[in-house]
Amino acid sequence: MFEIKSQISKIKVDAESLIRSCENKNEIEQLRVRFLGKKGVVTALYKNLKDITPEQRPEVGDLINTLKDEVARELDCKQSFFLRESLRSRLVEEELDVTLPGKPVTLGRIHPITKVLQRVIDIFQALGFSVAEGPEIEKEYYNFDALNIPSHHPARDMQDTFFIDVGTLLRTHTSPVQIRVMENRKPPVRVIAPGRVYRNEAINARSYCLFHQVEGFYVDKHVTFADLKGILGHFSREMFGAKTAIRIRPSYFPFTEPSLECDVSCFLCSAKGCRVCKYTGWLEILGAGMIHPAVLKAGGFDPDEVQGYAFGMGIERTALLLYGINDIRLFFENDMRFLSQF
Amino acid sequence: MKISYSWLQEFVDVPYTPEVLADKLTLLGLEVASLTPIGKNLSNVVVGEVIDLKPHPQADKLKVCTVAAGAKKYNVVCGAPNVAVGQRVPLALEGCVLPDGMEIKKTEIRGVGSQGMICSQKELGLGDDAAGIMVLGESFEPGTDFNSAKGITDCIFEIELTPNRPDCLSMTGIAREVSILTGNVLRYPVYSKPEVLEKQDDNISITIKDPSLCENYSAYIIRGINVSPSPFWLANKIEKLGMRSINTVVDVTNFVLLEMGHPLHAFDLNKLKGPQIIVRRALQCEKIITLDSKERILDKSMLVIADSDDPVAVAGVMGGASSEVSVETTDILLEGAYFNPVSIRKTAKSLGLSTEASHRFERGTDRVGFQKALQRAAYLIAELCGASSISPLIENNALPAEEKFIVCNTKKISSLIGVELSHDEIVAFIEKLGIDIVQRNHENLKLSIPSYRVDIAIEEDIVEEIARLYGYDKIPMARPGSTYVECEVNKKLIYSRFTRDVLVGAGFYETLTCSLVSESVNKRIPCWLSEPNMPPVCVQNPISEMQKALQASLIPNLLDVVAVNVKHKAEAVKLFELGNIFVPVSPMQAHEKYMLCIAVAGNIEPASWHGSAELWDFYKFKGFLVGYLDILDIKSYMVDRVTLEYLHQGRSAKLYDGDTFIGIFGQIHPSVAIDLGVPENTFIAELDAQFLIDKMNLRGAYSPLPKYPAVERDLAIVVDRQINFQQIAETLAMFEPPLMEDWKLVSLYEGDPIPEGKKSLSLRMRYRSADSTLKDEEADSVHNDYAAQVVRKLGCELR
Ligand SMILES: [Zn+2]
Repeated sequence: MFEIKSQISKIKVDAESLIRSCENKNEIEQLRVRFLGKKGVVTALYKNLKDITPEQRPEVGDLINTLKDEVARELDCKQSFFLRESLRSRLVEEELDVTLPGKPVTLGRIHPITKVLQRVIDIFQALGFSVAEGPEIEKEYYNFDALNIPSHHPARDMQDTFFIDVGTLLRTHTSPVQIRVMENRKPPVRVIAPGRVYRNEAINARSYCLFHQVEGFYVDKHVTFADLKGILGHFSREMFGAKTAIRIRPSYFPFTEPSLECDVSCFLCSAKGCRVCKYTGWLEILGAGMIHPAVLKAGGFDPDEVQGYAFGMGIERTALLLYGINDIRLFFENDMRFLSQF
Repeated sequence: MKISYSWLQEFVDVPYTPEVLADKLTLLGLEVASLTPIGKNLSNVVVGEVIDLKPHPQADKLKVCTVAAGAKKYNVVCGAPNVAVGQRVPLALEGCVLPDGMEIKKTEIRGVGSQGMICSQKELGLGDDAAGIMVLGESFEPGTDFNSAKGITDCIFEIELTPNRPDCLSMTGIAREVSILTGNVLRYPVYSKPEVLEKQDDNISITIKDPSLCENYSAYIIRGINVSPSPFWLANKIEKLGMRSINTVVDVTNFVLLEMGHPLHAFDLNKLKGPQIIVRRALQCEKIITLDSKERILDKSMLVIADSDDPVAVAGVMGGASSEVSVETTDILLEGAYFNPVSIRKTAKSLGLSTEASHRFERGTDRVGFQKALQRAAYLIAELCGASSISPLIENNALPAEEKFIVCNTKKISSLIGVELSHDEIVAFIEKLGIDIVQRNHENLKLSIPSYRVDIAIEEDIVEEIARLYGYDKIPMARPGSTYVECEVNKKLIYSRFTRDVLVGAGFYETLTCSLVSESVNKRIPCWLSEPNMPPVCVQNPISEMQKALQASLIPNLLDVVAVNVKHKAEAVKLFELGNIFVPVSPMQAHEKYMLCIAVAGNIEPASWHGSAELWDFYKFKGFLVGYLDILDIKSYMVDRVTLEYLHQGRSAKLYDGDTFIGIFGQIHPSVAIDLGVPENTFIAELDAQFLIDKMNLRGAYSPLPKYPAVERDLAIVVDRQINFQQIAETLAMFEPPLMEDWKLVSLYEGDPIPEGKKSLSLRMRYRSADSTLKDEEADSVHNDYAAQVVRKLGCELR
């Protein structure tokens, strides 16, 4: 009895010192076999139990169990120490130069014209305008006659036209959508019409044979010139910045009366005067007016019952100004070095 | 149109500097595009008189002049051909710096001392004439400072008039606007009858065949005139505004045109046969040689002024050469008329001839006031050319002008502007405009519109005038968007934005290309949606062959963009465009279709230091397209081989749904790749976006996630090489057991040890029960039965 007890203590001391001096994972495994394996030292103690009186067996059994647990814990402890150590060295070995370039994952770009166009649409949609579209190959009637521009009117010179056939042309503005919408709806209507329009103009840095336009109009019982001015002011501030001022001046479009041109304070020079604004501090961005009664009539509305305003702007022109681009052709060349800037 | 600031002062007091006036006019609707000061900073230039002229001893072309300027005399060497004794000339003296930077110094020219320089118009920066020295009028006093003489320093305004304001196409027209703006009195040109015999019986027959084209034709006959170069004041005024001085008669007509805005024309009376005037339509193919020495072939839509035999002028456009006024001319017929604007415009258009006269006639001239201009010119010519007699006004008033009235309502005017303007305020504005109120009935006013305001026709025109005078800048800004108007959902807009976001997120650049392309593009890459051999729709008046046809596919332009970027060494080209194509249905008719075109070429991502880059291939591209359709929730489509001449025949496919052709995609033909200079692995897809808009479902749908685990089983089969994947998929679908959730292809293999002409596929099926964990035996049983059916149907072997 005493013998076995001292045996247990000795084993414990031996095990602790051996485990402490262990230098790697393999040695731990060897010790685990030596002490706890099937033929291990601790396992052998259980076999000696049969030589002990039955009364003393439980006590000795407990001592052996405790020994077994303690040795196992020591082994585990040392083992996890080695695991941590090896992981630590691996992490050191795996160090990278984090300043090297990553593997390329390129994201695309939305075309600058689309960006400006979407911005314009967003501003007006937020004000409750619907978005309508019309065909690019348009009837001469919708493009001109219904908009109070009869044949052989000097106003037709304002827009050089591509003809497809007798009475058919490539629309020179998105204003025909005004008529098409009025034909299909009852007042009140509040619509913007974005789209591609065509002009028979030589292609150079300042002009192109096509561009994008947004036309907007609102017809209701009491729509006034002051309302139009309000919407233009709001749009200009949303589009070009909260400090933007507008200047409107009389102009002429056959489909509006009164007509106006709207300038915004130059956002390139804070209205101090620069090359782009020709040192005036103003940039012309938009044409507008109160819809001409003849146009309301052409759309099937009664000019004695309703009145309205309409406005139109060129997106390319706005984009050229916004980004300070000096050649409109860049928009249609689609050089990715250009597109990636937006 | 050009306006002279100093000339303007003759008609109205202008209390503004040129810069301020430019702003005021712009805000009044007369947009000033530019301001050009002339004659500024010319110090040390005096008016001199040439009192003696000797040949230069050393040079044939030079002359030695003695020029007197007050008490002083100067010796000046001059090379101008037109220098002569008695002329008054601008003499630049030592210390003067000319606009081109040249500094005047005392100098010696080939041995003869020269104390200054007699200058040309161009040298002084006063005009374009560099042919000879500038000869000044009698009003220039020798010895005085040239700069301070009237009409020398000036500011020229370039005004961009809108086509509705022909009344402003003259000095007095602009002066009228300034007068309305400032309230200062407008001074119309003052002139009096010259001291010339008025020959009461001098007459000519004037016939107007079609009064709807010419309401009134008026004329003066002026006899015994001496046609000579114009005096300085006359030439100076018209030259400053961009016209060339020709002779007194022509210059006076141009002068009055600039001054009063009405085009006039002078004929050499002795060259008119008859002599008589017939205003008639031209005969078909009748010819005339116009003043620009070009033969014009006329047609019967055109109005001409004819003598008893032939046309002598294209009415309102240009005179004829045969009756042109020359230095030999002694008697003239001076014409003024009102012509129908539409007729003049048509004629000018079809002759391709736009003149100062046609520009004004086609916009509408003053049908009453023109006779004043005619009289003004006649008197001036009689005086300047020393006429022996002048006739009274000879007139055929075929269609007397009617007075124009508009009824307007001051309440309505106020409501359209959106500003509370009182009745009296509005009346005051109307009176300021020079519009007579002929009747007043409470808020209703009957207005008589002056004949020069051809643009005012309806009540809204009066609204604009009042808003303009009130000041567009003073009208308040109302708060936008107060009323509710029903909104319409625009699915196309939603689709387009979604697609852009998805594609941009996937690394694609959006492009926008020109819808007008060369006709030959369609031959190389025809529209897959149109009938074969259908030519594209073309514009009838293209700017060039390169922009003639409406694109029938987005593919050609997008491939060009690929080529441009490849040329610029872009390594990973991923592009798309959303836009309309024009599917030709007949030579002049097309359906507009909204399309999505996608192109990729070369590397998927740019190469980098990590090693070689992954290249685009057919399956990668297809995988991308399928992923795109999947996110739109579009699943009901089929894929099949397609043959298109510009695509690789073995690597091109169409997408379709029943009878509907949705799109095409594939690798471009290797020879197309070579032609365009793009990589061989360039892939393109074009999809019918309208179909996608109709079928897409961006709302999404929820079904609960599975509760129980799935069991997977593989099936490996060896089938004939010719059997395509679609056939296998259809067979699998045919026998699909209820417990099968999904299946996929995990490998495809050909070659040893698989026999020649066969291929091996391994498929992985996933089975799952919705209400219990599937046991292995259940899965085995379902899978084995399924496999047996598929193998039997395909006639293939299990491996
Ligand atoms: Zn600026």
